[in-house]
Formats: sequence, C-alpha cells, structure tokens
Amino acid sequence: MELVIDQLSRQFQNKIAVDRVSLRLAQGVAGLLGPNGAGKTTLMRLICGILKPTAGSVSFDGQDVSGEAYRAALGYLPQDFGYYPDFTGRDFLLYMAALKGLDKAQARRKSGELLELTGLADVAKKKVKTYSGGMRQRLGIAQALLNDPKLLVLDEPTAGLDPRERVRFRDLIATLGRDSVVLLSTHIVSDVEHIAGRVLIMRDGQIVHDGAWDKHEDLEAFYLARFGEEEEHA
Amino acid sequence: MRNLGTLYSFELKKLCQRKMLWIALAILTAASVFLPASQVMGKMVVSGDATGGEPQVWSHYDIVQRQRADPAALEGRPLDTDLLREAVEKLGVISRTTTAVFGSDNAEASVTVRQADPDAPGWTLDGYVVQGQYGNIYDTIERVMGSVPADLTADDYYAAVEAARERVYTRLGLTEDEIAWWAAQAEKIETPLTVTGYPDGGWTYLAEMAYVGDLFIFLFSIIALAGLFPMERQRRTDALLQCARNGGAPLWSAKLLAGLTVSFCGAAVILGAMAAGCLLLLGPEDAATAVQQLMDPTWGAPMTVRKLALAVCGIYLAASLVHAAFVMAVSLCTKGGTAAMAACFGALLLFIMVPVLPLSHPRLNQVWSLLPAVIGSTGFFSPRLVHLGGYLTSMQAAPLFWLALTLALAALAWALHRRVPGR
Amino acid sequence: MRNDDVIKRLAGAFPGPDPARKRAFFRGLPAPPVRHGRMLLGQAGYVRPVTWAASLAVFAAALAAGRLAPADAVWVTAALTPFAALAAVAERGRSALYGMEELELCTRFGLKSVMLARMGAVGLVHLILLAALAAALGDGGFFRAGAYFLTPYLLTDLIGLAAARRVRGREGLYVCAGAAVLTAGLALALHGVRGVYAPESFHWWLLALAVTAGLAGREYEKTIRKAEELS
Repeated sequence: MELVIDQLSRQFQNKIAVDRVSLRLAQGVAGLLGPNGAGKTTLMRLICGILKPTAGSVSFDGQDVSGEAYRAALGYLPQDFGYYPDFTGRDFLLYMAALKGLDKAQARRKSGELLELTGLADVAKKKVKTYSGGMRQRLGIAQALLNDPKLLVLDEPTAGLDPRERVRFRDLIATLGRDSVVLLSTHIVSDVEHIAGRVLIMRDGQIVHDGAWDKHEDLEAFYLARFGEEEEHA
Repeated sequence: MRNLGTLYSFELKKLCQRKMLWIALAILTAASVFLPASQVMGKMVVSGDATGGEPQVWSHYDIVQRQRADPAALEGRPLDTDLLREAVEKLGVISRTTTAVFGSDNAEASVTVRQADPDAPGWTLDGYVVQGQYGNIYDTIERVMGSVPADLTADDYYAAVEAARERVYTRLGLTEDEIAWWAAQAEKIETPLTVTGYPDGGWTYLAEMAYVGDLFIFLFSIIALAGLFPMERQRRTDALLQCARNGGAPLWSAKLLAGLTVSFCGAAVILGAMAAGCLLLLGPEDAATAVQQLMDPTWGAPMTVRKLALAVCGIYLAASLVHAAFVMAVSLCTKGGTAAMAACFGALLLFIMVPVLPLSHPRLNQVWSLLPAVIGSTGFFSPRLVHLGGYLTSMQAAPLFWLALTLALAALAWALHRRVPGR
Repeated sequence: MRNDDVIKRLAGAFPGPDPARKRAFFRGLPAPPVRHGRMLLGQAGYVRPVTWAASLAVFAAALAAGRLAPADAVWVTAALTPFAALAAVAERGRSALYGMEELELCTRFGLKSVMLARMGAVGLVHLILLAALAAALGDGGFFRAGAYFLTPYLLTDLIGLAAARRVRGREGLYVCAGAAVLTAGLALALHGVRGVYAPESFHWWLLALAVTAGLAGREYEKTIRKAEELS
C-alpha cells in the first residue's frame, strides 16, 4: 500500500498554503512537523479530499482522492471537530459508521470495540456535550478507526489528552502503523520521536525535511536548531 | 456607573454591525412607503347598468387627485340640518336605485353596478368623487341613527350621537363619574361641527395605518434585538465578560440602552417613511370634523387629523421602547436568538388574532387593549378611562403605561440576566 | 437432544481459542456494496424531532386558524410557512452549525449526500403538508392557495440558503430567522392592503412564485456544489 502525492498545491486568494508537495508514503507512521501556518492542516485536508487542490494529485493504491474507494479506506481525525450535542457517544459512532458505509452489524461491533479501546465504554450512553475535552478527543480517534482504515490521517490526535492517555495512544498509533499508512501531524515532538519512522518537516507550504528518523537522536533539538538556522539565514 | 458611555457605544456598534438589522430596516421602510402607494396604484373598472355601455376605467391615482382638488363643495360648511339632508338626498337616491357589488365575480370589473331606476344619475368619476365627499357624513348618520330618515334635523343627529355614546358607555361598563367626565368633554365641542372637506388625505391615512407601522416596529425589534444577549453565549465571550469588573450591571445597562436606542431610531425611520409616503402621495390636507366622521362619533375630544396622526405616531415611537424591552426580556429566557425570534413572533401573532378580551373581565380587557400591539385595533378611541389622580383617556394613559411596562420588563430582564450560572 | 443444544453446550464447555489475525481477516472481507438508498433513508432518521415538531406546529396552527377564523386562514398560513422553511434551513445547516462538516466530508458518502438526504426528507414532508393546507384552506382554489403558501416559504428558503453559504455558524441561522420573521411580518401586513389576496392579483403571485422558485433552485445547486469541499 502506498500514498502518492504528486506536485500537490493549494492556493487561497493571495497565499499558497501548500506548494508543489510530492511524497510517497508507505506502510508505517510518518510524523509531520512544522510551525503554525506552515500548511500542515491544509495538506492533510487535501489528502483527505475535503479540499480540492489547485494543482497536483493524490492517490492511494491507484485510487484517486476523489473516488469513493479512496474514502472507504480513509480514516481522518481533524484538529478541531464538532459534534451533535444530543448524540450519545455510541450514537455518534453509529452515525459515523453509517456515513462510512458500514452495515448495522459491523457498526455495532466496531463501535463497541472502539469504545472499549478508547476507554469510553462507561460513558457510551451519555451525551457528547457532557464529555470533557479529552473524552471528546478519544471519541474522535474512535470514529477515525471505525472503517479499519488503510490510510489514517491524524491531526493533533493527542491534544487534550493527559500524559497517561497520550502514551496509550502513541502505542496504539504505532500498532496501527504496522499495517496501515499513518500520517500524524502534531506539535508534540516527543510523540513523533517515539513512534514515527519517518519525519516530514513543513514550512511555508513546502516539505523542507523528509527522512527516516533514528529514535536515539533528539528530534526536538534538531527541529529547533533547523528553524533557528533558517531564521538566521532569512 | 463606570464606563457606561464607552460600553454603550460598543454595544451600539455591535448591533449596527449586523447586516440583518439594515436589511430588515430597508425592507420595512420600503413596505411603509408601499402602503400609502398602494392607495394610488391600480384602477377601478366600473361596469353594469350605470355606465351606459362600455366599462369605465378610473385609476386610483385619478380618484385621489380629483378628491383632493375638489373638496370645495363642503369646505367650511357647518354640519347642520341643510348639509345632513343634502347628504341623505344625494346618497339616498343612489342607495335606493343602485346596487354596487365590489370585487364582483366579473373578473374584469372591480365594481358591478345594477341600477333599478334608469333615470337616476349614472356613475361617473365626478359623481363618485361627490359620493366620497358626502359618503362620510352619510355613513355616520347610518351608523349613529341606524336608519337614514329623509326629514333628519341637526338636533336629531346630535341627540342620536349622544345616545350612541351612552350606549357604548353602558356596554363598556363605565361608572357614573366617568360618564359625567365624558359629558363634560362633549360640552366643550361646539355644535354644529364644521366640515373641512377632504377626509381621505395623507394625515387621515397615516392615523389609520400607523398601527401597521407599529407592527413593522415590533418586527424590526425582533430581528434587531433577539440576539443581543444570546450572542455573547454563542460567540463564547460570556465567560470573559462575566469575570470582568464591569461585566455585570454596567454591561447589562449598556446593552439595554443600546437596544432601546436601536428600536427607537428604527421606529423613527419606519414611521417617518410612512408619513412621507402618505403626505406626498395622498396629500397633506388637514381635516377637522372628518375625524369625528371617520372615527367613532362617540369619541368627543376635538382634534384635527394632523394632530391626531402626529399624536398616534408619537405614541408608537414610545411603543418601540416596550417592544424592545419585551424582545430583550424574551431573549434572556430562551437559549438562542432564533428561539427568541420565534417566541416574539408568536406573541405578535397572538396580539393580532386576539385584539380584544371578553368584557366579562373589564380590567383585563382594558389592560389588554392598552398593549402597544393591540391598541391600534380598539384601544386608542376607547372611551374607557384610566384613573391616575384625575382621568386619562387611553391615548393619554398609553405612554405612561408603556413606560411602566418598559421598566418592569427591564427589571425582569435584569433578574433573568443575573440567574446565569456561575454568578 | 437437538443439534443446536449440543452446539451450545459444547461452546460453553470449552474456552474458545483467542482470535488470531482478526484484523487481517476482517480487512480481507470484500467491502460492503454501496447502498445510497439505505443511506438516504438512514439520514432521514437522523432529522431532529424538533424539526418535525416545528413543521407540525405550523401545520396545526394553520388548521386552527382555518377553523377559528376561516376568513383569515389564508394570510395567517402565508405568515406561518416561513417558519417551516426556517426549520428546514436549520436542519440542512446542522453540519456547519455543529462543526461536523470536516468529519462528514471525508466519509464514503460525503457531506453532499448527507445534505441531500436531509433536504429531501424535510422538503418532501413540507411539500405534502403545504399541499394538504392548500386543499383544506384554499377557498379560492388549490393553486391560488398553493401560490400564497409556497411563495413566502421559498423566499425564506432561498434567503436561508444564500445566508448559509456566506455567513458561518449560528450567525447564518440568525440571518435566516430574521428573514423568516420579516417575510412572515410582511405577509401579515399585506393582508390589510386592498387586493393583495384577491383573484385579480394572482398573476403577480404566480410571477413571484416563479421568480422565488427559480432563485431557490439556483441556491440549492450552489449549496450542493459547495458541499463538495470545505470552505
């Protein structure tokens, strides 16, 4: 399985948010880092097909991003997402499962599993509006995994989680990366350090670093040093 | 209060930045001008026996212009025996000999006239205008006396007016003191009354239709102010405001004042547009006795149509404050601006559909009839009096009642505002 | 002893083996076929009860007016239909209002299908209710009453659609609510104007209906197209 991004660009009026990005991502976890406004979220939205590119293409195993087969294999957790306040946690997952094309039996099975996995089984019957921020984030992760995606795009998945939960989900993402393509965008460098086999650094719409990462090296120091150098040269 | 002026100007700015407010004001202002314009739009097609063949087409604009230009026949004449009998004679012939069906099943005619006496005068535009001039007098004779005697005298007429008044007072359950007060007012009117000719001008129409202006003012208040308090919760600024030093009473006062200001200014624009439309299109001619002829003749206080229209408009400007306070209080009860709008519109519909409460509950009936959205239907010229030291008529009492109502609603709004969780 | 009983007892007697390669097994199963019809019906089931309640409230109020004040039933109903349209607009815009657009956009069926399903379900029910009201209350004829009821409904609907595309979140809903109140208020005020609801003016109503229907259709098309990506 392979995600192919070819000369992908997206322009908003006067700003080029993503500038001719080309990537090939295979099985495993790729971490995407970059300062605010670098274009990470825009790139992720382009990969998920919820923004149309100005130029370029995205495909997964030969399926174009605009096709239904692509979306059938996709799981996405946005950085900031809403919820229908009167849905319970279970209702929310069943609703998303319906939209992802799962039949009722599958939806029930997967919802139950994922509620257990994310530690929300006890509050599954409570309304989402009563959930804390961390619980909502876990619910968001659960919905991303409903259709057992082969391509998983996670935008700040551990934001709002306490340290123990964060470690749990890091481990989960690492497990998922064994047989899926996972693209993980985060400000928490240690998350990328621990689980990503490949590090992408984005700045001003372009990928400025793309390479495997040796877990014994200090990524944060590298990242800060890299951007410190660039600011000096700029 | 600290910084009230600054807070007030910011709240005003926040309100004025909402595009919907300006769109609503523009549309309602246009509708206010459309109302008087509708009186001069279109045409009347008269067909039937009385037209002598081809249907006659009269534009409403022509009718209005002819009526304005030709009031001289009755201008300055006393409403005495001669004039009363003239009206009876001119219109009595027509009513005996013709049947005019308006909005008939003949799709091409607005009026189909059947004329029993072929020698009776036919329908012409001039004749129609004359009918209009005498028509108000004839209508009041019919209404007051129940029939139209051919040998009517002025004494009979004025005695019948007084008797009609007495009947209304009895029906409404007025006390003897109140009846005596009205009798004293009636004595101030010199009879016979003087006719000033043109009863259907712009001032008259404005006095009649100002209640629609009030409806527009209420709508404007609903649209402009229903979101004034809920917007803080929706924009998630409420937490920031509540923990600020002036986030309590000063902010609430600023919002209330801003809301009252916006409603009042909107009302001024709407009523001003309506007045301009009425006076420009229907004429600025004043009339005196026309008032008594138009309104219930049991209402005795003398007033010209212009003074009446200005008084009514002034009163409805005061009503805008009540509307504003009502909408803001409702918005504090509901979770969002949309729910507040729906609730206020439901209240408006209720006021329109229920213009009067049963007379078996006289005080409730009186209070209801004084409400701003209802008073235009029945309340302004009701002979019911309000005891406040002396006696006040409905028109005099309404603004005072509304001021009290505004303050009460403001107090309710404050109580509701304070019950926000976390305070 | 029946076979079923034997199987049940055996299953209970020995612990089963732990599942191995469960995930791979499920992944290897063919993807379920796409069932748009089922999805659309499913989405109709997610329409909020408050939307149906508001629609029925409008319908009931109009029927009550027809009973209590038959002479006023037509203009009262014309003044109420904008609120049914408001309920439809609020339902349609739920995804944007609650920040669910991004999640729904990236699913197999997509935001467009969700929106179409909601529009279809609520729109169909409203059409039936308006037709029933026109039949019940239209003294001057079904089509005339239909024009009186449908024109303010479509006017509110098209303003709501335009507002939702231009104004984000609750503010868009507020604009639509304002439009509903304005349209309803004008319908109320117009009943006092000579000839507005008379047969002679029907051709103006037909023209207004045609214009609002055309504009509403264009707004629907733009809204559906906009639902293809995040804005």
